[in-house]
Amino acid sequence: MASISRLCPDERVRQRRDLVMRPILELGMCMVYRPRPARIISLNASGWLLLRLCDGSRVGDIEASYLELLHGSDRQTGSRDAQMGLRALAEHDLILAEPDGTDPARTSGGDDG
Amino acid sequence: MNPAAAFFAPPTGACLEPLQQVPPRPLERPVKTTLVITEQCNLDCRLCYGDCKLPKPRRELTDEEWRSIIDDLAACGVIWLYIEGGEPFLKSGFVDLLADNTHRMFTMVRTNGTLIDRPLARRLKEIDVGIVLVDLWGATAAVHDGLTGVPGSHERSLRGIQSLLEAGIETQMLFILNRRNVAELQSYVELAGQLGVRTAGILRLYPLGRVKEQWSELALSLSEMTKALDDLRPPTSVRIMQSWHPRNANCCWQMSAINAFGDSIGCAYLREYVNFGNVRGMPFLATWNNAQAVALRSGVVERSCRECASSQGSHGGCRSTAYAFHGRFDAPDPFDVELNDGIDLTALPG
Repeated sequence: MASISRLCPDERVRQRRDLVMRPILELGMCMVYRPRPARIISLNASGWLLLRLCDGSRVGDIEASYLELLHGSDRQTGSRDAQMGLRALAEHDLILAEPDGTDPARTSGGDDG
Repeated sequence: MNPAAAFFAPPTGACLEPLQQVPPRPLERPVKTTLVITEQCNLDCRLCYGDCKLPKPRRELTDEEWRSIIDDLAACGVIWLYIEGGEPFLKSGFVDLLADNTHRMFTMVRTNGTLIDRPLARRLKEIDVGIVLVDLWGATAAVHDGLTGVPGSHERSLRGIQSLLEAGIETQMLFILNRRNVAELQSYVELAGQLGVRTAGILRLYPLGRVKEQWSELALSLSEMTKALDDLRPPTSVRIMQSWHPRNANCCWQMSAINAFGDSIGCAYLREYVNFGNVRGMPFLATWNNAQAVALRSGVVERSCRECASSQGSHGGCRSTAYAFHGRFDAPDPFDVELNDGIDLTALPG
């Protein structure tokens, strides 16, 4: 799977399959164990939502879903937030780009953990 | 502040610190667990909280039993293990145990470092161990070896640290502050910087194990500890990790621990005060839900320090030292300058 170098709307991204997710509802967050290299990353509700939306969908569709769920009519802010969030998830090596031509029906799925 | 921080729960970004912010309702299941994997040790430390050289009339958990327990912990939701001893690398099968669990849990190993050579360090890197913490209690061999009771241990620990760093493993150092090594605290953090270690922990001395009988000789007063920390000038490359005011946390709300014999004890520093049940005979979650364990995790204390509560999201400081000096788990921690109430920390209560 390719690393994300840029986030264009048609690029498909998904969360790494080897992540171990530990929702902590009492704190409204999700702790993620990312192996190779080992790291614990704590996501707040927004970051967690974005990660869950990265199921092989197009970046544009992820942004749209994120906007619908969190930002209501504030498209400009929501779009900027989604882009920032996706870049942060990529920088922490939690999401990867799918190669062009990948069948989304084959790649979509839930959490590994 | 990095705008992307809006997506990460405090602390911002990659979180290698304990969870901060006591939740409004207690954790229903554990997230991280300390495993005191063995009491075997190749040193003879004056600061041994487990009194590891004292033969115990109990059988330690076997490798197979530990594996079963870790499976149970994973099913409970634990994704973070902190493993200590004794000396963990003396436990038969320990490295394979780590290797078989690093795909599903972040692992931290606390060690004296004397058994770590280049091949072992490379193996630990290969199996994806997260962090290795090495106890180094002096900048000089004279001080360190005087505390470990084994000549040459300082040099071996240093070699272990160097091997770990060469292998690319995140390596931290730990220093248990006491009267025998306080004069080397500055040299210790400078040594950390010279070695390339980026995190140097300074730990308080606990009246546990062997330390109890030597307390008056080893313990510093609160003003002495505070001065040593205030005077510290660490290299800019070294982050100091310490839990005194204003960073005195009450960690019990998130902690769980199992000793070498299978007792569920909440935290290694509570080892002499509590026993929530033995996991040989019951599921871990049953011990997590023990009434006393639930009470400790509630975070309810008599008094809180505002600054520490603000920085740590918890109240009252360490429950172990609170209990040691007050005999109550909800008492204020006397290691906090705001909560000390004139208690002399160089003398244990009668």
